[in-house]
Amino acid sequence: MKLDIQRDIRDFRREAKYWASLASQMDMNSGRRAQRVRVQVGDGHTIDRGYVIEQLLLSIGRLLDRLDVVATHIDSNPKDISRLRTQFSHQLLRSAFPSANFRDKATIDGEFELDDGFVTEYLLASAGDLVTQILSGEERLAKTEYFVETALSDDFEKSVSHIQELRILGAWARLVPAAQVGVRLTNDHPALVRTLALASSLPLNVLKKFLSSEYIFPWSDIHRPFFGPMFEAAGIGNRSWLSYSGDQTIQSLGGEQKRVVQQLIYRFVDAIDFLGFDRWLEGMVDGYHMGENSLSGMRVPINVVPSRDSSNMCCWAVVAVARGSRGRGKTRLKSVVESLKNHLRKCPKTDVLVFVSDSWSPDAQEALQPEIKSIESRDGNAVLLLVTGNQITPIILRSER
Amino acid sequence: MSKRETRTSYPKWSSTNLVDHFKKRRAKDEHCWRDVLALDPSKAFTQEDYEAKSIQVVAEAWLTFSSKTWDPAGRTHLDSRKTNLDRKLVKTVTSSGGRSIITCYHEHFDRRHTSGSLKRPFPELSLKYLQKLEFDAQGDGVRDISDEEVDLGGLDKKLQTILLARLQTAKRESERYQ
Repeated sequence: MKLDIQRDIRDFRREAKYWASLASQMDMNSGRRAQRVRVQVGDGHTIDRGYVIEQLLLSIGRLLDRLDVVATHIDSNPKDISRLRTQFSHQLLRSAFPSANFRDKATIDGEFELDDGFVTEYLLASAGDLVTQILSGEERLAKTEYFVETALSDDFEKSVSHIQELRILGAWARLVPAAQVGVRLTNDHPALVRTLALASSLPLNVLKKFLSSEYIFPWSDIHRPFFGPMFEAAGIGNRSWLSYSGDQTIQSLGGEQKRVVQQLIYRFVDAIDFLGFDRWLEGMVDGYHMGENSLSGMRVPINVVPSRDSSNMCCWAVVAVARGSRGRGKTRLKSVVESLKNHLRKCPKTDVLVFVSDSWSPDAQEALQPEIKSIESRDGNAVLLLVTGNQITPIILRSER
Repeated sequence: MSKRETRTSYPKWSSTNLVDHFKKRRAKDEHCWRDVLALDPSKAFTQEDYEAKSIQVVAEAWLTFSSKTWDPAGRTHLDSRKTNLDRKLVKTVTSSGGRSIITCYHEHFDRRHTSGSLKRPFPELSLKYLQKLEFDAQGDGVRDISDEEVDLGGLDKKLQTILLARLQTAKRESERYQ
């Protein structure tokens, strides 16, 4: 991997400085139509102020991301990194908004924290009028249309770029209501987001479709802060149709991987609750299973049986998913048990098995005895998550000694 | 990375591929192509229009590069192909040698086409495209970006530097999974 942090930091800082210099050229007090203010960026080429601000925020975000990488991988004093983050962002924001009155805020345990939300907060605290102007009228409408288009799009492709865009979208979602109601952001971002007129300005089904997109999970660290109140507004994510009473069983798990297995199971319970068993199962069979925003939420890959993923890699854990006990479809219990046995034959060092199914049978239990025994012998875990109606029950699969 | 030089020959479609792709574009997004070609409502969108535009894109491209793109259906990266983009983000993809055209379409960033997108200023479109390229490369959607040729004439020098830096970042990301 060719990652040149120094070069990235230099490039991103140069870029942020460029946008800051453009922002500073724009008249901040030119009245109601201020959002139309454009700046020249070449022969006959202009861009508008809203775009400049967006790019400024983005480039600051990218710069801070890289500083985080430095902080993670290089043995540096956290205070130095923190100071650097503050210094960079302050300089950039001050140069972008020369007339703004900046105040140091959000001091946590004596250290200065700055994330893109905080940059937003800064902008609103110091240049609220400007942001209000930018986001009024056409610009705001354009952003709302963006929501609608994304939500309606049939080919809403799942890629890293969308996750990134959603982060940006999230930042805008926080800006819009704040600008709309003319308040200054406090630490209570969700309360402001709640004022977002999206729930009323977008048809509820569109909002639901947008939020239910499999890449906007209410439990995701990226999405929760941005979309939490919108999940609430759309009436999803909070409902609990699922009755889960397996804490004691899960807590009683032993083995080296205990903690990760518990994490995996809680994630599945949340996901099934949110998506419903059928959609969750389809996502598991279709999806790629690595990363905090994947259905498994794992930072390392896991195997799924059955799966459209044709990779032959053996992972530490396998998740088998089955729906229906009759017939021969590839997600039927009997077929899944067979596929699972094949998989474990190929990957005999698998330490963890989580079998999620809406049915179970003595035949399945019997058929998997050698595999369960083998997992037990390595101090691993085999767990069945049985989803029946609105009940989800974890059962530890043990070998019959 | 070099600035584009004037070409003496342009790629060609094979007749079957042209027919297939034209039919696909007409069925899937004729309204987009009518916008792209600024066609009068009384005029039909023809195969000749489509072919001519695809070649014009190569002739007027501001960005050309080779890369291997992830094919979700085949679950593999395709062999290296050449991407040519004009200033409205109409994209013509050719074989690696640049002789034959594989496809031509308007980049909507995986969303529906909107007429407004063609009116966006070139600096915004170019930044957006390079941002997408970088994110795609981060997610291994694009590998091995090479042979870049860029023409950013008309933009101010600082913005050109930023765009070139973004392309280089995308290129580095695309080499991550080698």
